[in-house]
Amino acid sequence: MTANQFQFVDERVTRLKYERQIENFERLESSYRREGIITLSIEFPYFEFAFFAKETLVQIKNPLIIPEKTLVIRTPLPLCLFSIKIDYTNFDTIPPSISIINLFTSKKERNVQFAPYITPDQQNKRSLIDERFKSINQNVLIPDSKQDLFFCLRGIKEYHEHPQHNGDSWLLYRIDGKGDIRTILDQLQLYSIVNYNKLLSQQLKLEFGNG
Amino acid sequence: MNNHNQLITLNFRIQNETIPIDKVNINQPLSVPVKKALKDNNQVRELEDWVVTFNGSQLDISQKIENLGLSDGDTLKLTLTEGGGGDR
Repeated sequence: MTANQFQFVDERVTRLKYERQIENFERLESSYRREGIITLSIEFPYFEFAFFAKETLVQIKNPLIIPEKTLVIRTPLPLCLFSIKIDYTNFDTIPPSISIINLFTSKKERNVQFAPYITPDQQNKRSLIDERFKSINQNVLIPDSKQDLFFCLRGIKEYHEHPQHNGDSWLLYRIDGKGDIRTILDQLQLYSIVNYNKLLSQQLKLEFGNG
Repeated sequence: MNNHNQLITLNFRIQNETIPIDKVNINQPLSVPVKKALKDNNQVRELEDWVVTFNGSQLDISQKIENLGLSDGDTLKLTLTEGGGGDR
């Protein structure tokens, strides 16, 4: 597989660090799978994962079935929220890069079924610059100038290369595990699968009219 | 339920480490064993810096363990609160 980025670090070093990431991941793989994170591919210098919600809950307002009542369908039908490719090229001189990919083709994707976000109770309020996020959700999957989606999270290449974060260098976080595969998966799971499940508990509602 | 049945073991995964906390009283709030797990794992970040999830759902640590539907041997995950764009 050809890397998308130019490998300027000695490849043996990056491979060694990538293999450590594989070891870290494999210890928890069965746990991640139970939580809805499915491995698509592990091939140097990449990981590919799909994030699944285990069930969907839909309320259908269909007057033909039950006039003026709502039909609730709760189904263990898995829903793929999004799929990602993590690129460990040059790790850990530079942080891993994450892109959204198509579940079936692994090609870059610009749409997701569910965009992850940080809820106010998942924020570290003591270190917030923007006070709005004490009370509103913060998107973490954001379109860049080319409309490609990137994760605006520390420890991710696209965050540290963004002009808004040029004072928040990767080198400040390089040794504290921010680019670690477990940290990335745990964070993305929290902001996507966990928050999706919260929405389910609030009962998503779809209304249908007669056509 | 006798006193013995009110004591369970909960496991807490903090990154790669799984910390078992024994003899957890199900009438206590979840924050009690969470604090103990963080202490046992030598974590210096404060309690409010962590989010606790189980089986894909976020748990309110102020709730009693019994009311959260947790059982003996369950493994809960602790994730650090972490901001993106609006966070320093």
